Amino acid sequence: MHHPADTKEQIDLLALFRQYAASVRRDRRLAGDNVLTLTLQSQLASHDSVTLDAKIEAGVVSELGYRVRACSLAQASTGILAARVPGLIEVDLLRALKDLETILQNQQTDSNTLIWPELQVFVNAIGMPDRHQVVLLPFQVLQQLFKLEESKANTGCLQG
Amino acid sequence: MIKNIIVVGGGIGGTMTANNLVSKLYPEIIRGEVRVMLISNSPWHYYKPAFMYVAFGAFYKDELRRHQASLLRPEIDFILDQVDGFEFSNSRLRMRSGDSYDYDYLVVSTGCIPSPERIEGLKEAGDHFYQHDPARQLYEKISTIEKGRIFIGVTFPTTPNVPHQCGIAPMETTLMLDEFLRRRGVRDQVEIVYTYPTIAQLVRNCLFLQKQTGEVLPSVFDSKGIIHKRGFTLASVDPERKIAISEEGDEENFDILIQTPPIRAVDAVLDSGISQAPNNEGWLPTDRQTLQLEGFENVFVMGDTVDLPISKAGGSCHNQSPVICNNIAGLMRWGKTVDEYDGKVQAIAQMGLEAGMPLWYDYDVDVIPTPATKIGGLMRKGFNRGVYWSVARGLV
Repeated sequence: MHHPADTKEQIDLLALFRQYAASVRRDRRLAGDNVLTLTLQSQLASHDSVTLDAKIEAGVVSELGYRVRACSLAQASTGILAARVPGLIEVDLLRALKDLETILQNQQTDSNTLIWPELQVFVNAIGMPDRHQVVLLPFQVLQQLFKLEESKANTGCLQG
Repeated sequence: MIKNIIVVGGGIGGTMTANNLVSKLYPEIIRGEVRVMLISNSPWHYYKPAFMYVAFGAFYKDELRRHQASLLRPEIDFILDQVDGFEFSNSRLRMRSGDSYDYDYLVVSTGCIPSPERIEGLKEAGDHFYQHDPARQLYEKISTIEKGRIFIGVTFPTTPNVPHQCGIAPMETTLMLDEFLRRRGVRDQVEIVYTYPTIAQLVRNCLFLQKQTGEVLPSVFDSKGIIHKRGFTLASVDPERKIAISEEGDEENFDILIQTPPIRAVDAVLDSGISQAPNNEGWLPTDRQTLQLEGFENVFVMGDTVDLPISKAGGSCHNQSPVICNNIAGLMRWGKTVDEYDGKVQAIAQMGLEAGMPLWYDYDVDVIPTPATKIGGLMRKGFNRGVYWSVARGLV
């Protein structure tokens, strides 16, 4: 009997996938005046939801908190984001998001061309198109938090 | 002022926790400062994992149950009644009898309910082993089948990352079934097909996806001629044609359909309005470390009622119970929780009728399977026949 995960490369990617997913299984919440928080929920019957808390200073995420009530796919993508903090900037996030969308559309699987090679773990999700929106959730939450921070900063400038 | 701690649920989680609370808070209890009460709607405590063996003709009813009161320490007030309403905001329980109880601390351990009626045709045409009477009915079928096809499937909750009841049970019963049919001399005439749904690939308790078990279990099934497939999510059953129909669009015929059914929380939990779980499943939002009900510092949740990404099994309760007792003691004595649950679950998987496989995992580390051995089988039999009752009493 053949299973998709029978090759060594895919099994190693699965192991890496599970490592990232496990890394956010415990909630980590941030509190404070300078913390931005946002929750997004999938449109699926399972109502997967991802909450991120972010401290963004001068366009750089310095700390990330999370509460993931979603399948392992969103856990893994949250884990990948969390591992890229501190130091994550919006430009890199957007490029990673684009890479991720490309992988899910099965258009690119060469890890050498990816901004974050670990995104390759999502080749396991190519065959689950219904769940792609869940993979993307954490990226979309953080993208919106960047926008929120930007508008806050602009408001601050105007008021100043 | 005396502090009232109420444990709701007379399953393994509630029973051991009531006993453990008395041990933990014994100084306060003998000084008359704390009272522990356990509420159950049954005078009997059932060893639920034994239902699996009932499906294979083992365990008479009186072997797998004890009087609830006989398992509780004498300091515990046992109330035979049913909670009809959880008023978490008022720290109050409304009872079916018309009584009400106020509490300072509450432990919700009300379990879950198999609900085959949630899949069209399943109640009429399917079998399972998660309750006594259905397990007896399944035994009648597998002890008389001479030839045909036994189709085994698993239904997961819709709530993401919440597994079905006892993660290992479907695999255990598949291996037991193989051996049972061999002993009856009919295995060559009966095809066994074991399936897992597509969604299982997305939750960590899918044993076939976990690297180490993924390498072990398919070969075990292959060696016994058990056909195994992924990607079958039961959508409905046609009882007339004896066909199981999947969300993926496949149809599978069967002579016996053994399906791990959908599950849900009990009515009073569903009606509390606290759950955020989809599909009206009712799992309570539980802090993953402290095991408090989110938003309610004085309420703790354990066992099958939680929305945690770990197995709904007694092996989870065994590790959650001390955390809850420590945290209630911490809140009473120092005003803060002091312990954290790490997601630990342990079990001895029944691998056929004689062998057993000790295994464990937590939030961070997936299942680490050990070899299936007769020693493991003896450990499981020892647990089934005696150790369990000591665990319920909080002694082990």
